[in-house]
Amino acid sequence: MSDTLPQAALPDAALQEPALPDSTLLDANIAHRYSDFSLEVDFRIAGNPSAPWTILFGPSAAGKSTLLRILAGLTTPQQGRIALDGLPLLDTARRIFIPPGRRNIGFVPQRAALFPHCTVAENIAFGLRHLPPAERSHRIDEVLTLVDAQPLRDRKPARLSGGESQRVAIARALAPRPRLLLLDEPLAALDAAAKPQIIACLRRSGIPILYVSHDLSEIWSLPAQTLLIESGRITAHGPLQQVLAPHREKLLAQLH
Amino acid sequence: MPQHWIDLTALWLTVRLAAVTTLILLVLGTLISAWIVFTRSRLRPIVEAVCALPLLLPPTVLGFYLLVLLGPQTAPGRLLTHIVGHPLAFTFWGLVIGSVIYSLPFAVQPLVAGFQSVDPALREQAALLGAGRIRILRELLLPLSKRSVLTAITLVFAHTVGEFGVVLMVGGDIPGATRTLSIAIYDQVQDFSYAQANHTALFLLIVAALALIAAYWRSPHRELTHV
Repeated sequence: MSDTLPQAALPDAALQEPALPDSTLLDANIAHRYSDFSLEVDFRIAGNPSAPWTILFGPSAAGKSTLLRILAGLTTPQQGRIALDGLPLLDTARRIFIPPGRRNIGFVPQRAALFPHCTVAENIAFGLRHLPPAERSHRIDEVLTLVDAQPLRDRKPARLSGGESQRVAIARALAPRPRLLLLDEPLAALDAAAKPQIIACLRRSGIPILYVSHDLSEIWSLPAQTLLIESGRITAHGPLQQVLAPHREKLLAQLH
Repeated sequence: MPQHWIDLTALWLTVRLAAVTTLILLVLGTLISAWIVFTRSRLRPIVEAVCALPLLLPPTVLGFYLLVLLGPQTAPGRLLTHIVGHPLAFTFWGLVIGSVIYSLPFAVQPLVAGFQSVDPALREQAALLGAGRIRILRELLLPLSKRSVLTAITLVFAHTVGEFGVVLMVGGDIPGATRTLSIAIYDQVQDFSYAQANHTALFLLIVAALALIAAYWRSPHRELTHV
């Protein structure tokens, strides 16, 4: 819950109410219902440079992916208000809807969804149309270096392994320099050896990340905030190890 | 054996008609199919039904209404007559309008199927990276639906080459202007020129068979739409 945000991340928050504190990166209040499931969440994510990651943790079918799709603009909720850096991306009451490509938000789904007819470089260039060719090529090299995928530059997706595909998908999402990167269990289908490498690539990027996971072993050691989501409601919000301590037994069971 | 084994004037007219119809339907069919795939409008099923109507409608019904529509009795007919300077019925361009409408489903159905087979996650990623619908169509749906585009081209061309009812209703039987190969067969049979009719019929049979073989021809794993 938003009131459990660490005070260090929100200096003078009380004095600045009702305006958003300067450090608020994402502010979301969403109500969405489909078939027999309802998602009702109200939370803020602080732009905290020392812990730029927020883990969205919860069991399967808790509403994690739906929430991410709503934040990215791929699903429109029945009611809601979303602001990034104080700028409205969605406000159903005021009929504001900023389309996905203009939200300044990157999104990496569980499957890499690379364009199969394009090379790795062309995939990454897809979101860099606004840059002049030289600058575009430079940015492609930059993000490929960041995810350790330089040698894959001219390969087609059919010739990439699962881990390579995911690294390229992350590079493609990072290339336009999004303000926030949403990751929907991007490591779920990968073997254990590939996971730490990709997490390290992501941490090097320095971009704030909202990371969906239901695998404690994947995220336990990260310096991150955590939103715990259960049955479409956020039930806890705070530092990762504090929020997830009650789940640690499950982690130990997973590891043994 | 006659001087020419087939009516060359009718052959040239048929090829011109099929080529122009295919070109027009490639553009029109792509735009309509993209709209069908992208839209959330409640009009979608109605548009799809209208596009498929020529499959079920007797060609004479379509030809009759086109004849009326292109003639001087209706406002669109008078407007078209005013624009081009003469009535369009019984002219080459009248035939083109008839063929475009009659072959519309042969363009729209394979294209819609092709566009719909592209993984929606790819379209979402393109949208997230800032692409609008035109760019998604040009850079994603069309390149990933090459087979469907080729099928649409082949079917429209072959279907136009073989059409009879609409051509006869809208175009009549004017040598050099509206007499296509399928009409020529009819005339040849009426004149008891069975050998000539046989040549023409055989030619149309081979064109149709080759077109269908081309449409069904596929090597495995040609088109990758998923990663």
